[in-house]
Amino acid sequence: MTRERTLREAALEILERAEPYALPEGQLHIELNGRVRPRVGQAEFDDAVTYLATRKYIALLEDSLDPELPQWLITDAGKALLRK
Amino acid sequence: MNGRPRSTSLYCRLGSSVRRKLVLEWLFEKGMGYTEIAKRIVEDFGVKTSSDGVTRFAERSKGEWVTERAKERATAKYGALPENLDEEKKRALAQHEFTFATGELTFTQTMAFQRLELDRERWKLQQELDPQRHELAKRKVELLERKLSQADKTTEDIKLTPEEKQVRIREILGMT
Repeated sequence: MTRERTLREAALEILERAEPYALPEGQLHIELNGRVRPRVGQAEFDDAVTYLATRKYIALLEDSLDPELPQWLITDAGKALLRK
Repeated sequence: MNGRPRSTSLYCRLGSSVRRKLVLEWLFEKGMGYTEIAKRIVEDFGVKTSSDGVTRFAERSKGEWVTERAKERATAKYGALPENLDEEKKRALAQHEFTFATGELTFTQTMAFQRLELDRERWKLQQELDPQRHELAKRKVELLERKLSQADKTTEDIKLTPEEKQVRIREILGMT
């Protein structure tokens, strides 16, 4: 498995476990760093989140009260991808 | 590392989520040392490990622990809210409790969260028929209004950085 794929799968698993709540982006990065070695740099993290968001595997919490603090939820498509 | 723990890791060898939770409590709530924890794991569970093994377990699990605790806190908050409070508002309050518990709340969100709390207290005040309790609820609302007004002034203070504002606002609102 490529590292990119490992990161994406780990991110989806973390978000699924946080359900029904949306996980703040910073906490998602912290949890990924606990699971993946070597640690996940900011650019690498941003790439993984962008990949998942553009393909609608994850979604931003719509009623987030602060746009400066993105909070992510796993979508049904993200859950289906995990089960593949 | 594929993101999942290896079968040889302490995480897997502990074997059950109950044991893992107990070790996490020793680590992050009781503040026991890694050597002491390693000894307890051997004694209590018969699982051989070292302080290095516990260190790696702690590194892996800290983020998960924070999220799990935040979920418990948010779920408890949701359950304690009045049943006939608007469902959307209840969900928003629980989500903000969750975000707050992960330590990721910005000052803008802290303020928004407190405004939701104020709404909830005002709602409770309207429902309270007992004169004594009504007076108490009224005082609580007035106090929260005063705190929020003070916190509002802090958000507009151009001399403070966002981090300083966050600290100050949490102090004013008694969230430290």
